Amino acid sequence: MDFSTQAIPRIDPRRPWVLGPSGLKRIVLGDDSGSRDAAMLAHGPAHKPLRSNGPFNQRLLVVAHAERGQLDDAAREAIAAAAILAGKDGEVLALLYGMEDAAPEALAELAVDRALTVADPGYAPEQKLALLQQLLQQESPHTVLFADRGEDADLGRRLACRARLSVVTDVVEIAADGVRRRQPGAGFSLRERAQLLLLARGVAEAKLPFVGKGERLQSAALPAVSEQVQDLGSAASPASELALEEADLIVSAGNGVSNVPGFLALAEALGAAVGASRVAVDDGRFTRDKQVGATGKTVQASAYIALGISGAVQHLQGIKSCRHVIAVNLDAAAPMIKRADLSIIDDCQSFISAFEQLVRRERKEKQV
Amino acid sequence: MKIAVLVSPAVHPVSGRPCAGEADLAALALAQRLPGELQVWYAGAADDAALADYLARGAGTIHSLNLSPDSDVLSALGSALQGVDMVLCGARSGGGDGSGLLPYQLAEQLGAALLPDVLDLSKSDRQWRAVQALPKGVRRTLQASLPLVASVNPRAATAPGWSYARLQQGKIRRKAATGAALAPVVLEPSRRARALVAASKVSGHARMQGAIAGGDAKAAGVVVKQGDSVEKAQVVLDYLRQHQLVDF
Repeated sequence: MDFSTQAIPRIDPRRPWVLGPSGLKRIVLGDDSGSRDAAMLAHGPAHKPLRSNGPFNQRLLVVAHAERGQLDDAAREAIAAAAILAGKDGEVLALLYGMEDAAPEALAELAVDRALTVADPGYAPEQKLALLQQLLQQESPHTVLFADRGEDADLGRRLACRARLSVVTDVVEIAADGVRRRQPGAGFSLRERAQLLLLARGVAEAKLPFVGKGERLQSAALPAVSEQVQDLGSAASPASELALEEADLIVSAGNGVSNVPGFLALAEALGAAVGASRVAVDDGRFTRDKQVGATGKTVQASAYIALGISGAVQHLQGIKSCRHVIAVNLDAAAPMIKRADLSIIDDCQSFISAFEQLVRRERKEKQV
Repeated sequence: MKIAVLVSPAVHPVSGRPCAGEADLAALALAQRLPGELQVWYAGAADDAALADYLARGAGTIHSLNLSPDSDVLSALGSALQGVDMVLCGARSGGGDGSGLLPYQLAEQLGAALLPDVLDLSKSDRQWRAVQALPKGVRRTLQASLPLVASVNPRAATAPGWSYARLQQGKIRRKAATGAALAPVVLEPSRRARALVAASKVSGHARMQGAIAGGDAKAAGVVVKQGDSVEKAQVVLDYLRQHQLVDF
């Protein structure tokens, strides 16, 4: 056998590399700086660049109401739309109700440059309008954006009529040539971009590749203005009496729940609406109007407690817009566990009875 | 007390023909329950056939302000409704723009109190109480004095059924009116709306890494396997309390 006496040129398969400006891997032979393992990089903290460092000479104003200290998707999309429309010299100014204790990092993550946070006074449209008009005078934003749903839609319409701003509602598309909204009985209607836009869902992609400056203005008190309409208080009817689509708290049963009376007792103790998966409905344990999912109802609850539901795709579609999902299941590999914010690996029967007793005890203690 | 109900034809979602709007019908039915002199108003360019549904469902006489199709109804309605104590209309019309702006504009113009998305109206002493529908089943009670403008939720009341006799007895009184020109609108055929997406300068490699690591996507949920059922029930209750999802 004839062996070469020359040293075999060996190449380290994990040799260090750096990422070039074109996004391609660049290997400099003999250089031992750079990364060795892509998988190591992938788990590092995501770093996003600042959208614009200013100086700003124009601004957009976004007004949003937070629910329980958090903005919902519609409000996030409105802020994202403002950040995308702002450009290099444009600033995103936000007036946020009910987010007094938001951290600057959270505001920056929303792509807000400057935020005025005000405690939500509940029903006070005249006071909110007075504050907004002050803000319009001080900051003179060229566009004001609202999400077209709930309190924001109401306040936006009031502001447009009070301050006599040009307005387009239900905007589904913002383009270079104007804004589009759906026209009843026709396709789109295209009109000029107005001073105040009320944005429908899906107008902008809420996931942004940049952050804002996240500065916070001194939180201002609402001006003392008398209200024309008096608020006599609001009441939520018990969730068990509500239609599933309207309920805020839902407990839902699947194939894993065999003790239906016990489950219904838990729903009653918790004051939650009752839902069910397709399997439980087909078995006859629940009526068809309780079914949640693609062929049943689509729900928007803040909290959805799924008991013994494995989480078929069709069911997950029905709970897409639920904020907090809690799953109880014996199978730790079920798709529902991947969707859930909190998962309990336990037998449903024993969990339901334990949870019901706990809820009843805590309620009683609260009353005393 | 003078009550005015504003109606306008909606576009039927399947046939595309004009029909009565759900919310406007609810406003009509709610107004018929209230004591007072009721007038039904319409402003716009619709013909008799488009308003026929309202007559057949109990509108009686409709006062119509004839406007050209591209003019604003606000000024004509505003002057016609001077001296009216209560104006009721659907929260959103199913035709025209359907922007839901009219009650706000009218309240501003008439200097009236505004009660949006009303489910019920009742009198208490000299004031009026309204139950307002809010998302997630919350009902808010508001109190205001006259004059007031209320936009009515489609579920507030049900109008009587369609009747040929009422259609024959009903009348439409027409009057010419003028309004300011609306901003020009270009109609386009329907397609999928394009969302605004921020231009991203990151490399393809970084985007792939974002897809693996999830970037700022929702962190995976907490999975609890330890403990018995009682401890796990406590974990769930703590979670619900931490996020203020229960009130005890």
